[in-house]
Amino acid sequence: MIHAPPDEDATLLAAFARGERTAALALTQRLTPRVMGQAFRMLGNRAEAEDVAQEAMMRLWQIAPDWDAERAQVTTWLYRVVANLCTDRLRKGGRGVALDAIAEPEDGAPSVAAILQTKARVQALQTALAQLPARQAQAVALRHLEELANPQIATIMQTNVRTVESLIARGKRTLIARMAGRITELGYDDDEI
Amino acid sequence: MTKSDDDMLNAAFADLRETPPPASDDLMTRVMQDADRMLAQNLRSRVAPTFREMLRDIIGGWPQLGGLAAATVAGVWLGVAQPGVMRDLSVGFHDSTIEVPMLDSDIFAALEG
Repeated sequence: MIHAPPDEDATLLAAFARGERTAALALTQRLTPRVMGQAFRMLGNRAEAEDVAQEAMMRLWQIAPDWDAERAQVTTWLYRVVANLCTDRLRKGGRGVALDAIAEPEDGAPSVAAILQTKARVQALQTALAQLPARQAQAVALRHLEELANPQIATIMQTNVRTVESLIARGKRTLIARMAGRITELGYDDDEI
Repeated sequence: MTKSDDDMLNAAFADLRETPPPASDDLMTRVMQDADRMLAQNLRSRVAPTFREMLRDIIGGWPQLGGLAAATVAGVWLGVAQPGVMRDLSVGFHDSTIEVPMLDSDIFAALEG
């Protein structure tokens, strides 16, 4: 997905606040898939991720009249909202990976065994991620799933880079500990890394 | 954390990143419906007159409303309290005979010529 110039989302949001429906259409098309992707990678459940995505966009519509483009970028604000909504859901528990959410391959693609192994890996990681403390889960997800730089993560989480690095390091150690016993089962020892 | 552990975790992250996030047309539609509701709500709040504006148009504003309120209170007081001045004014209207003087007969005499 091509990310627009930093100020274009804020410009569109201001237009929406003035009542321009075309701005709402543009923001929906640009931001909803990105928000959905972040939520799905953290939650692993299509229905829950869609609920989070819709709620995050609703909050964007509501804040539009009061949006201050000088204080933050829209995408930064959305990252934070989605991360908080996801961790709220993870705290409430009762979530799991919807394996059917992973697309089936086309002909000539990996075997069924490989697909199942990938699904099992994804589920194992998401289960372990869900069990982390909220701030560690957010930091790890933003760094390794959204592939953001630590300074940007610090802005999103309203903290400093050092704290982000510490959260990520601790989170990864816990993930390793939880997944270590399943390396063979998940086929990681067979991978050419 | 050993290198192999880190590599395993990075491979797991890669698996999760490559998992295509499902995006449905239904979600996009719902998001736009929410946007439309907000647009309509914002439009109503911009167009609809405030209570103050309505008051100004009908009555003439708060000073005029104050006079109206004072007159209303006075009327209620007069009806309920029946102060002495009202009783005095009512003398002659209740339980009494009022003589109405007829016109002077000379007036008719003058008309008859």
